[in-house]
Amino acid sequence: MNIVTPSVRVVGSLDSRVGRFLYGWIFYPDLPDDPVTINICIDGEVTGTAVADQYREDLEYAGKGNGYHAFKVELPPHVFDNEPHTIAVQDSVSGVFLLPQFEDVRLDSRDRSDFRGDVVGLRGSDLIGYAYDQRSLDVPVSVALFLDGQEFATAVADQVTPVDSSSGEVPPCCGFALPIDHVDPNRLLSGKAKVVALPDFSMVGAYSTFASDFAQLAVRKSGQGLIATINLAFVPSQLVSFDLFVNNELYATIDADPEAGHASYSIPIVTHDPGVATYRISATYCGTGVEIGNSPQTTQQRLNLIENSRFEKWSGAVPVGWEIDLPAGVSAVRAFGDASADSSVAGNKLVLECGEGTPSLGGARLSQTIDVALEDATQLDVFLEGKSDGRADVKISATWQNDDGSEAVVEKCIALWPSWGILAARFEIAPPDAAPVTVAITVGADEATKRIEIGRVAAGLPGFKAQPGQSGEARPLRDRGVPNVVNNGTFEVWRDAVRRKVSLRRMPIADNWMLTCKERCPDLEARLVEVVMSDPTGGVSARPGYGLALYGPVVGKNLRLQTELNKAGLADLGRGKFSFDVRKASGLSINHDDRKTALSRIAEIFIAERQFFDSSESFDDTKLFTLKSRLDVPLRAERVEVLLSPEQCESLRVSANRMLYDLNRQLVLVFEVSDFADCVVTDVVLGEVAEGAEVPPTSGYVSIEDPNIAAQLQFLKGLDRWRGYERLYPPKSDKIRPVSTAGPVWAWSADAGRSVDIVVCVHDAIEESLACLESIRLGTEIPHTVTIVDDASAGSAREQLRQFAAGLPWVRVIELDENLGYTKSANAGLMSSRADWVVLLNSDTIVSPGWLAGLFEVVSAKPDVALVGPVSNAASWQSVPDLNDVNGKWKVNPLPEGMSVAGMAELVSSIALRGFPEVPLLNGFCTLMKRKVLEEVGFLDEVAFPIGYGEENDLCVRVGKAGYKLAVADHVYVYHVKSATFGAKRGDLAKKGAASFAAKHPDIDLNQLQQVLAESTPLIELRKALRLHIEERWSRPAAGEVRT
Amino acid sequence: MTSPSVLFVLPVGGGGGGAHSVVQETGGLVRLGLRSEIAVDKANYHNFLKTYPELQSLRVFVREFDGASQLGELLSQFSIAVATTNNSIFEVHSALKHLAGKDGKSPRVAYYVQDYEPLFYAPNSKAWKVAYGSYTVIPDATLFAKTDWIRNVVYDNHGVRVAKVNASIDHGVYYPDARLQRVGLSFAAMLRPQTPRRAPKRTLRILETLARELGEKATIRVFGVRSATLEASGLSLSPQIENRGVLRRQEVAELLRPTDMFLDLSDYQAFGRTGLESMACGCVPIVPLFGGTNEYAVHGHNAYVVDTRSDDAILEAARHFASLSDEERGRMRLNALETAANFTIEKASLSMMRLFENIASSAAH
Repeated sequence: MNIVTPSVRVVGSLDSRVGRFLYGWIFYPDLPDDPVTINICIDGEVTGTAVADQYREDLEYAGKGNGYHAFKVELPPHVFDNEPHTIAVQDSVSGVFLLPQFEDVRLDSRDRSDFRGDVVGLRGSDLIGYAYDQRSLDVPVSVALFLDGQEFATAVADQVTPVDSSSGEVPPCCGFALPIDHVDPNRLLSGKAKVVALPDFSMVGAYSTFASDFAQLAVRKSGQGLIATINLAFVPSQLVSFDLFVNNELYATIDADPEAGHASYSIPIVTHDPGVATYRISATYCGTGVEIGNSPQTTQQRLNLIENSRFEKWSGAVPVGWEIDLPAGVSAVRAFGDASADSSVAGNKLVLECGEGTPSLGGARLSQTIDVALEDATQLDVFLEGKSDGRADVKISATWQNDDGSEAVVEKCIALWPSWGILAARFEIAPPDAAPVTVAITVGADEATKRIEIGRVAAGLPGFKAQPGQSGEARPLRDRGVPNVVNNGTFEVWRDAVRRKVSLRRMPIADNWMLTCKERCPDLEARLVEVVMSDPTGGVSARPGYGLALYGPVVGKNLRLQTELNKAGLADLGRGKFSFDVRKASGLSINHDDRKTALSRIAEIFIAERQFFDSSESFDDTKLFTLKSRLDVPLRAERVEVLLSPEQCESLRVSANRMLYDLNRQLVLVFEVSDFADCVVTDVVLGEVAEGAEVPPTSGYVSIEDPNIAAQLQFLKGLDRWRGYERLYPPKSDKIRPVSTAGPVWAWSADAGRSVDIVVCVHDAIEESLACLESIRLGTEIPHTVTIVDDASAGSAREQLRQFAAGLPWVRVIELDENLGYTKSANAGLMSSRADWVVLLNSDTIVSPGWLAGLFEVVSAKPDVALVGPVSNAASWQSVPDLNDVNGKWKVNPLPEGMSVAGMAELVSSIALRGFPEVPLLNGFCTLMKRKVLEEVGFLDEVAFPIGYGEENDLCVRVGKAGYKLAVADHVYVYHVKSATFGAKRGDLAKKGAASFAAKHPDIDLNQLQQVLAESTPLIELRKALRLHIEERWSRPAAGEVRT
Repeated sequence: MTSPSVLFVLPVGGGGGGAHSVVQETGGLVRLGLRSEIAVDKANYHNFLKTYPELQSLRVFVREFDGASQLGELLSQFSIAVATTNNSIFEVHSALKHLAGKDGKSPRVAYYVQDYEPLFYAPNSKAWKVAYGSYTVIPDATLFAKTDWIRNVVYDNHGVRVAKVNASIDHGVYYPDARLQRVGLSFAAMLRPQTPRRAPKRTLRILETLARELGEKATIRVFGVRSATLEASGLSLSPQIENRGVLRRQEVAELLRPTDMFLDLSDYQAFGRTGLESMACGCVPIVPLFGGTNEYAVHGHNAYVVDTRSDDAILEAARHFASLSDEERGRMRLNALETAANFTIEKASLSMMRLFENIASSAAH
């Protein structure tokens, strides 16, 4: 844009600002070959001049004199402060401004540096990016990778630039590659790594995308399963763990171990759901919730290759997709599962049955050709869920056409039984060129069976549903509950005599049952009896059956009736239930003298782990848990039922799994009878309950052991809680704070201009200081750094500070070898800091959770505030709840009894008006300061106040005089221990400080300033409210109480 | 005002937790310059002296008395008589009656309530009635106790306010050993088969479960009972659990020092001295939720405070502790040590002295 004024003709334009430079041109048409001098105006003030005398070809072509009228002006560093500025260029002679003027531009503080660049990402194990010096593009820059203040790698940025450099903005050879394979990847996850240009450590860029660059998720289909692969950019130097989730449930945890040397980890995912299923696969870095690259992924799997697998769709009399071949007299009909009967298939089913006069189903065939192309050679698992009216052998086959036109058939014979079961067969198939495969189920020709019910036929590649045995044999797979792990629980099978005297100490009786006793019991008889069992429905139709009767005196102590439990069944026991029928044996006329026993009792029924010793019959039992104790045997048959607790089921599962293949170990069920046996036991069942059955509460029972106590809980007062049946929990205590072991994890401050450094000067009093530092660690939630200035502490303090800082990369320690005193050491910390904000915090303070964010709240609310201080128990005018003690001195308010610093802070925060009152002075125990303002007005005055006492007031006054505001965060509470580091000298020092202050600021009347403080309404209100609150809550002595 | 003189009436042979604290705190009072002595009945006198050889070094006088009239005479020499058990308050009561007849100067009576003793006995039994009546038998007695729980339960059931004093343990006996190399995990518990409120069966049940669960990882020791007594009570220990028998205090401390976790699975604990003593030795204890353990135990911080009625609750705590890293266990141990360090004899005696001075000054008005 050209500007022409009537008096002096000036033509020109401010073209652009790139980085630190302004570009443009200017010339006088009347003096076309003379260079023009320009003024650079920032915020209306001339900050520099330059001569526009650089050559630009386009200017010459456009007829702008000789073309030597362009300028490139560097802006001064101080404008790169993220604050709004107006930038303009003006002809120095006429004062005419070139257009446009840049208004309200915020210049990135990173541009203050001469170095530009960025991090691009990961290539192999190198972190690549580019960096260059704006002023000398030809000289390669050295860069370094810093993480938590530690340098991990350096490189020279002299390689091909990894971004487009054709525009000329970025030199073509300023790329760098920083090797990071030796850095612990877990540390890089936080996004805290940054690349700096080495000469002045100015930041080139942060590396925040490591998590997605380093590890990437890939999911592919494999047969009927999925394979998830986690690919790493490089083999990590430290163990990195990943959590793999399938449909949001943790599926596996993968450890990428450096010693394994792999950079790729594949995890086969067995997909269980038949039919088309959607799978959402995601992977995160273990314990962080940070997802890896390309995660999550969603994939669709068709698992069941059989269409209309459950016979749900029918077309007339034929199920859709199926071909049915029936011999004469046999019909195929659609039926529905009977939920109340034993059918486990609640939905549709196909029933094959013989009509009248037809002897058998023999030859009936059910087939379907799979419409999915299968691989050349693979395995096919076929599942058949069905039952028949008796044992029925059926053939499952898979058929396809070979290349030569011949038919290939593989088949397996399996048996259907009168109860529902899932049968599986695995076939090795090799259909050439994706030839179609037909699955068929054929009833054997000479079977006598007349009715078969089929609930489902399914087929899939390995991984679908379940893996049948490797032997290739079809075997029934149980998929619904463990029916009974007690073999011969109905005592129907006896191999030996059905009536025996217990003449041995160990005696087998009915199949799978054994009696043991410590001494022989010659008068005790065990025999098979026929009994009428209890009716499980509670009706009158009792069932006759067999049972084991024990009758006679037990010699010695314990007679044990025991049976080995089916370990395989127990290994996947769900919700277990134990039940059996029991009645007295007397009355069955099994003994000649048939004594009537008054009381017969089964002392205990329990489950034990049995360990056999090698090559001997001897064993050792360890009781797992008791199912029932002291059971009085009823006269008539009753069913005893015990629901197992989840813990008991778990312990059974664990034991069973452990000893599954160990022949020397068994799980046994034991009935223990002492004194006199008089019982019949039968129908012993230990199995799974259907869903929805009542399960005892997981908390287990609760009981008082001492009967004397239990007996008086009914009438003693104040012990009501002891009476309940609910487990009670201890009250939560505020002494327990979640202990953060990991420390803060944050990305580099996203809030430009808000980096903050907490400066703590320590001189001895190490315990207090460490408590302060620990409170900073626990209570500071926003990104920060900590600078500890150790002012030549004595003893082990220095070592303890080092130890504190050792694990915490955001903490640095400045160690002074000579005691400089408070003011100088504080300045050492403040001056060394490069953050935008600094907190000068006394070492005898305890900060409260969220304190720093609270201080910044004030800054956000009042942008012209340069100093912010919190309230405290002992901070002169910022003290709460009381200002002065009885002697009129500043009061050190103790915490109310039973209240923690955090509790008090919470109280203050809930009561405070949040007025953020502006004040002329702040107590120096904890002050958030804008560093730019410090630089402007000067740091603490080391000369006038060498050891403190007054330096804070001096700084406040200077900041105030410079036009900035000071404010109190009346909602933030920081506890001040108020240690006596200087002991008795305190009074003298304070006097000296006051004198220095008066000398330095003769124009300031401290009393007058204090009056302002005294009248600060938010603080007065806060103090009043706190006093009320505390008095109400803590100062009610109980009547008659003698206070100690 | 002259400083009060105090006579603790302690008609026991010694050995129990309550007697220990009386002996110690009396010693503490003597050191504070308060005239305080202990009166033991004739039947227990010699046993008592034998149990506490330290009495001499503590400069605590022990007086022997035989019957109410002798006790009455003794009492007349002191300004405050302190009953320490439910029996002793009755003895003091009848002694005062004797004294009243003789026109002697009656001391003020205080009652150091160390437990809510009706819970010890079958309701409405003779012993129960004595215990139940003990809180009100002397209407103007000042009752004091070391836990809020005792104060509340006495107030709730008898309408009598109870003052509070600080509790103490003997740090000369119960101290930790920081140099100890800890390997594996060790548990210890006190077994008192004859005291049902200490829940011996529950304790055994839990220890057996832990032994089974943790196997060789854990060392489990019990004390407080001879094996013969244990057998007579129909209880037995699996070989993994070592019984150290009946121990003296120093031996208990020696046992506790290398122990990681001490289990007090009583139905309730009025205070639970052994729990705190175990903390002083560097154990993290499991203590009952019911009673006054909240005076020192903070669940998850320095101890596990559990509803001991529930085996699950106890096992949960023990398993949690077993699952901690050495560092985390160390942190809890330190917390426990720190807590125990607050229960000094000095503090307890001071609080008692303050109480006695209050009593004496209220008597003067």
